[in-house]
Amino acid sequence: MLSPEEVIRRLRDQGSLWEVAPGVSGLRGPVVSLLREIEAALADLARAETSNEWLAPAGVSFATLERAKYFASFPQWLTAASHLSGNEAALQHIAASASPGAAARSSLEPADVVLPPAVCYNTYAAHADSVIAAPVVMTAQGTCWRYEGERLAALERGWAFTMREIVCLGAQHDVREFLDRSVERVSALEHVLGIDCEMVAASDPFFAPNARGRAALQRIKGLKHELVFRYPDGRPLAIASFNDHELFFGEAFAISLPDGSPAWSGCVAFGLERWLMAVLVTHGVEPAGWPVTLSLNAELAQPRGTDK
Amino acid sequence: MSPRAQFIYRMVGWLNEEVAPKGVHVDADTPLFSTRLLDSLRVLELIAFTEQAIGLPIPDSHIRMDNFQTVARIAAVFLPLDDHVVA
Repeated sequence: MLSPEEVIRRLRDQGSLWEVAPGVSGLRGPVVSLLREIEAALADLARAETSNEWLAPAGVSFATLERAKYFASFPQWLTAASHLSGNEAALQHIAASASPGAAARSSLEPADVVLPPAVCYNTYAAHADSVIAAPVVMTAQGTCWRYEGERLAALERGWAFTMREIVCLGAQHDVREFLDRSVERVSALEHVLGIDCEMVAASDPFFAPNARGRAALQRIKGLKHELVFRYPDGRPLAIASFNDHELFFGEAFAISLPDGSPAWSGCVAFGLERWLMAVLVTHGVEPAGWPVTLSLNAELAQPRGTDK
Repeated sequence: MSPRAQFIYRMVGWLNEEVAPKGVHVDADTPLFSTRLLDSLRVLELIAFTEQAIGLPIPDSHIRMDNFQTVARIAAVFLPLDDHVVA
């Protein structure tokens, strides 16, 4: 096994990885094929649960995050998309500036849209103010953005990273069963990839001042579990999370069951670059050492769930 | 009254007087987290109450359902009969 630092050093030396800003990295070469195989395996895992695949929007509205109470939960991560004004004089000034990049940077308009901190917010918004007649399970993959300052690290904690999510809306038992099934499926994938992980109780890094109370409630109620890969020195890397939101999003977005009660929700999230890191730490950065095939095998090909 | 019995008596009293909504009665065996009895602020008070009783901070790793299910369970875990904290 390699240390994560050694993986990054070797990838940089090969020219396979580079960063344009802390946590904003690019990949090229065989490691991209490996990432694509992991991506395909996770997509197959999601499709074993549902055929309801979404192409999530590349942005999420401030209104949606407000409704999701995001600003009381994780505002520290927020990253937004801005743009230059269409004012011709301003654009000419920038173009004529000695440093157009710097001039553009200082001329940006207030942000109109947030770069998604998670894929699932748009799925709750899409079901807002509605009654779901039957459980809904959907999956989507997208680029997510979380600004984590000095903690940012390539392939481990990207400012921009790729997330695959499977989301379930329904009654409490629908969500609990969905999460149980997901744990089983992910364990099978972990086996296929030849990486050794453990499932642990976890809590979210909520924003103060009520952070400890919310995290304590999560822990006591067992609402969040993470699939943790361990580096050779024992440091943990959470590569998937299993989240029971109870009624939080059902109430926040007025998503109801036929009897009028709020829907329960849960989601399973995978950080693709972290899966890549786990495979590289385990098998090395040379393609000859990688698992022969990462594509979905019979072990994972469980019958599809009902198309919820 | 043993320290554990005192703890149960005081915590049940606090929950009924300060926390439980009108018409809801909490006893030592009432599941504390199957309803919305405790929100994120109250759960901190519950932990602080316990920490004060045992005179020690409770590490996050011990903040889990099997330790906090009921008042009786909290007492059993954090105030063992021989008065040595083992959690």
